[in-house]
Amino acid sequence: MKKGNVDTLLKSPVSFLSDAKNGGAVAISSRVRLARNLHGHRFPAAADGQERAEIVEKVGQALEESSALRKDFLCFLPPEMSELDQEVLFERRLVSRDLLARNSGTALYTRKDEGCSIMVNEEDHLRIQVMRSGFQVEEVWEIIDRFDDKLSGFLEYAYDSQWGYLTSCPTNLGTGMRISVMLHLPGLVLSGGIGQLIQSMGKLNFAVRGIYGEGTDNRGNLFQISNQSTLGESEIAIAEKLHGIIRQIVASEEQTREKLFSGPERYKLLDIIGRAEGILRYACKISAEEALNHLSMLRLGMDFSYVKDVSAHTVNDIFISLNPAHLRKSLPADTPVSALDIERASMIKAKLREKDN
Amino acid sequence: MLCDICKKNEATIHIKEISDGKRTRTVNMCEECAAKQKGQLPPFNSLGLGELLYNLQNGIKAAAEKFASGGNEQEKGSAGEHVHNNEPEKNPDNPELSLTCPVCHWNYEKIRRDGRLGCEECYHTFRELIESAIRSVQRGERHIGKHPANLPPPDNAEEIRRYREELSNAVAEENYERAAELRDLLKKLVPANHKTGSGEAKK
Repeated sequence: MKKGNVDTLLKSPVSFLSDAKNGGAVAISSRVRLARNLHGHRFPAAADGQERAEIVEKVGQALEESSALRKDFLCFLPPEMSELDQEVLFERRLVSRDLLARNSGTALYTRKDEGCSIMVNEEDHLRIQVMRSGFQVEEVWEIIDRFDDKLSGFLEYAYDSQWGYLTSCPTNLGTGMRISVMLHLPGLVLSGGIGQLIQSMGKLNFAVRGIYGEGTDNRGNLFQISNQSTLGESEIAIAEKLHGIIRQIVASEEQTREKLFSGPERYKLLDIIGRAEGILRYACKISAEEALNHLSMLRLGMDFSYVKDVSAHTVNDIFISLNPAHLRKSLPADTPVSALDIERASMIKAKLREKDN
Repeated sequence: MLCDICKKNEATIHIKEISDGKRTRTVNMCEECAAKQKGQLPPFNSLGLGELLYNLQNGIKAAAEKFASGGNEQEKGSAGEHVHNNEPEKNPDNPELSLTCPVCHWNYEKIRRDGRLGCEECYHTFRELIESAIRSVQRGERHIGKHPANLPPPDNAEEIRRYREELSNAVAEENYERAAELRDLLKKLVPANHKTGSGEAKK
């Protein structure tokens, strides 16, 4: 299996978002992950370095043995990578902080397009992940289901007839499945409807959080809705429930946007959008947070064609490339943080100016 | 049911305190308030094992004593297998909390610290704690989803029996949503067909 190279990944920064058609769409991406452990091995927290290395090897072997899987996968070994490269993987949602916290015995196997990947020895032996752009809940489930079945032909999973797939934490027990959609909800945020949404999600056993860490940080008006319970329902039932909920939220957000754009306050909103576009096109330094917030307004403007000449591809490219580690990859090693903001502004300007954007 | 503490959010965590085997006190909390008990910012995700055990030990002493007095004493049978002795014994020193997994040597202290288990065997060793955690963070107590493609399909008769039992419990508790789910499940199972992992019928 080919060893992965972060520089190669960076050549296609948009990865799994590359087929997004509408930059202003409410659903940005869909993601599902399955937690799996191998039978007969201690879970990562209890396993020593040697056992973890064995597990990395076993998973790699399983991918190698399947001709269907072998040619597409790359192998990354975070403990052997520079901190900067590790951060790039984190920014691309391929690895988590928990995985990076381990100094040895971890691996990331990923398809070249990053749409399907496996973290090895994070909280569980395997964390399989599938991501697609937009609202594709049932599709990501089908893809990961097939992939999981293929893998289980080569690996023996820890499984119990009562408890299902055994995980290192009971919060993931049973299906081991966490399925989520990343939503862009500027309408609901601006109209004040987001608090109610969060409450109602809780009642339905779904979680809402800002995509940047825990809690309600709503930077960029981006939220992730995911299931909370993993035991007691089938995977399809969970996926269907999420699908239904997301459909409703998308409808609600779209209605709210219509109202905002046709109401008496619409010029306030158009002004915010115009200024956001202006800053993104002309600012000389910009923080990640500010960029994300303006990008959100840009997306909103795109949805109603108030912002022209910006493609979905460009806005998603900027969305990923504005992150600090991504910027640092093209800068000298000792670049101070303040210079990042300048580089970010310059990158955004350039991408917005590109001819075929 | 609303949270007893903030009276705003839905209570999704219910902790019953039993003293002297008689007096019971139930606390119903939403996730935010339960997590605040540990002095942390409320995560929207469910409580992990660590937090649950922390709350049980520090917030509600009686629940920890319940573990001790309801205790399973661990014995090694032949061939190194361990056998559960299910007779409850009163032991004020909480021997429950000194249980150790025979395979990976995990114990309560490690569960508290990490919020994680050490291996598959831990599910048997720490069964009570895990079942308690499952009840407070999961919707159900039994897996009804896919199984590994390389395992034989589960025995439907046993599944059907269990679901029927759960269904009558759900109806008795007036949990009609759950009852409806179980009814739909039974509909799929009763023409006793083998189901493969990804062969679930799509609606």
